[in-house]
Amino acid sequence: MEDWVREAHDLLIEYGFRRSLLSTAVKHAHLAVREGCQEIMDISAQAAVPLLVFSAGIADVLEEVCRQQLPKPLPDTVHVVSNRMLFSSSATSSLPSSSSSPTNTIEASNKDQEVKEEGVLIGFTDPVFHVFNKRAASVLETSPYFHQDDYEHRKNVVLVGDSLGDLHMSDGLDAEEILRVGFLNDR
Amino acid sequence: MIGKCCEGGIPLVLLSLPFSSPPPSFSSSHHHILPLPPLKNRVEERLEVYSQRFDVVLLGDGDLSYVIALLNELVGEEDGGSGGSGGMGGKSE
Repeated sequence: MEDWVREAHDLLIEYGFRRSLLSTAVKHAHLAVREGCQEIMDISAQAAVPLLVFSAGIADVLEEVCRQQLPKPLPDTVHVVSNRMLFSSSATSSLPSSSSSPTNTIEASNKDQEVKEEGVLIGFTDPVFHVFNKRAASVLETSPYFHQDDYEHRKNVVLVGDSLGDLHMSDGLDAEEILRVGFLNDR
Repeated sequence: MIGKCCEGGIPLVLLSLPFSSPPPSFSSSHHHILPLPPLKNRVEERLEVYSQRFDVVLLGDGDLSYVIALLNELVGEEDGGSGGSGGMGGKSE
């Protein structure tokens, strides 16, 4: 599964995906957030409840969808756990500065040509998330999000997902109670 | 079975939303057709498993009103001084 995701990422890199395309691509992708999403974000912000959004897709896409469709920006209590794009930052840099190491980078042979322009996709952050590893354990140690305020001491989890694999999103959390809510979609 | 199917070349894998038989454009030149069940449109079948694994199962591609009500209740309890530890929400795309 990881190879499959990496190959999909490589295709985006190979074909020179640019940051500037993201907004338009999302706009025409017929993606929609579920009704009530903003209200949940509001509850998260007002009550200081950490809200983790797991996706085996691409964080940049997910955040752009939220930016276009939700009336407010994502609050600080929301943390997206997903694959994040790395874009070239200038004509001279090969990789943007990041605490995460890129996993998929374009080959050196065509890098010079591809990275001359700012905002060209050059890789994705590590680890690669797919449907079988999108779980808290994958980022618990490396993400500073989990180590702020009293987040580490939270013991109760409300888990919302639409696939059986989503049941593992809470894996790694030191939870005493987990209430699992599943959407069984019919399309 | 899959190994046997793969003998003699890469198999053709058809994966799609509901169809009961291969499309007519596929001729007998495709020696190995591995019929895979549709991933969706099996709500009744999946309901049993979902009911066993999830505490609550919501049908019909609905909105998040149940989750909102649940969170409001939990947050309200906390604000009311029940002394419980905080909740941690998880949401899947």
